[in-house]
Amino acid sequence: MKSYMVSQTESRHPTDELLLALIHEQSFDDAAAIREHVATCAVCSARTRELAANDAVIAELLGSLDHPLPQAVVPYNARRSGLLRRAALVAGALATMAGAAAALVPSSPLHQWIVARATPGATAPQSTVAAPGEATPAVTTTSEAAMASGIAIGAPATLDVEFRREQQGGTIEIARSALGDVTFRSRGGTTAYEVAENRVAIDNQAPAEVYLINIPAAVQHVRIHVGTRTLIRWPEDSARFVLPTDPHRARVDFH
Amino acid sequence: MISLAAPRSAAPQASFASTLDPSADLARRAAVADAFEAELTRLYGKQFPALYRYLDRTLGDSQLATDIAQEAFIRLFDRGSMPDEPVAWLITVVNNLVRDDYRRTGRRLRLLEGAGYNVGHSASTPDASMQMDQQERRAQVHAALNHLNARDRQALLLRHSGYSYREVAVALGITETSVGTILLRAGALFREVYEELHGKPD
Repeated sequence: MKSYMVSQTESRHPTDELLLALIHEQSFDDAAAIREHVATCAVCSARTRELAANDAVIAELLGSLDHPLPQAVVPYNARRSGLLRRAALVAGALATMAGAAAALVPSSPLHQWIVARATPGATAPQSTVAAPGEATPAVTTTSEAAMASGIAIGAPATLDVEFRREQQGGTIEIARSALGDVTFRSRGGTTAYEVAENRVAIDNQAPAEVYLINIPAAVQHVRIHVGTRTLIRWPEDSARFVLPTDPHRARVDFH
Repeated sequence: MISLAAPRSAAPQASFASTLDPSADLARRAAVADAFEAELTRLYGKQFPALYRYLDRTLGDSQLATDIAQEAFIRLFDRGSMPDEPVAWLITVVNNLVRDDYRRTGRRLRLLEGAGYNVGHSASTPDASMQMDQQERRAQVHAALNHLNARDRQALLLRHSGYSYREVAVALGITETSVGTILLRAGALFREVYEELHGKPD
């Protein structure tokens, strides 16, 4: 590490930067000399303690942001072929996705790679995701293992939600929120999503018990279709479906 | 600054001898590739946790942090050779990916974990209440961090994610001697703003 020592003619004591470096770094030029000075200087010793205490508070505050490290960090087998090594690199990402596919930047190389390599029959279902507006449909498959998983998209001004198939039972719960993304979750069944500009198609091939859709205020008009019929227009039809106990929530039965 | 425009496959130039003996060239290339992958393995094991921590703290989204950290390593794999400063290279890549992600956040499609079925519901259990407290604390810390300029915030988060002054300096394109100055300034402002907004930390 480079020297941080200021000219001794400028000051009798090391600067705060130097004292902080002493706290942060194991060794650097002049560290021994500064450490020796601090050990015998009451002013610098007190200042170092003060800086260390402040640093600990900052570390604790920043530490409160932490989520657990994904378990995937380990599975790297050096004997595998190069391609399979890439699989190992991302295997952890898959492992942390709680049964859903990785939450990825759409069309990212990693994502495309995961899509291409997701093992058939593995607990993590396969998925294909494209950025809204792109030609390739975005499809995510949820399963029983991924109960209540789903997708989130940025809020468009108008939104059409299309359930591809009629289903005998099940409900759609709609929640209006002040902020955030449009989110779709389902419980039970098998659901695939297809995302395009202002439109989300839900392939309810095995009907879910509940579809939960959160719609932020930025989305001004919503239409939900089932097959060829329009089930609800929001806000036009909202009064018919809004829960008496909560004007921001609605419940719609498929039949 | 670190160049990210390196060729995706940096195969060594063929030597005169190898032009005479193609099998020797192949063997040499295989040895170079093996050495690179061994180095990549070592780097991955050593650097992924810090990179993930830095991203997780920056983004507040552990899944996206995982994805971006993984993607940085895959880009390094695709590069085919180690840059001069691999740690700084990785940080630069993830910073670029984060910046790109912010640009298109409104357009981004995310997948949601299964655990959060209670979207839009209020917390009603002790666990949920604890989670709410934790989320609130995270929001407070992010709010304070957002008062810092990008470079100061990055320096503070990098340092507190375990990176050395030298790594911070190379990654951010600043001198090593200025890292201490930035950390002092950033730390003081962060704490001051946090306490102004939310009071002294518990």
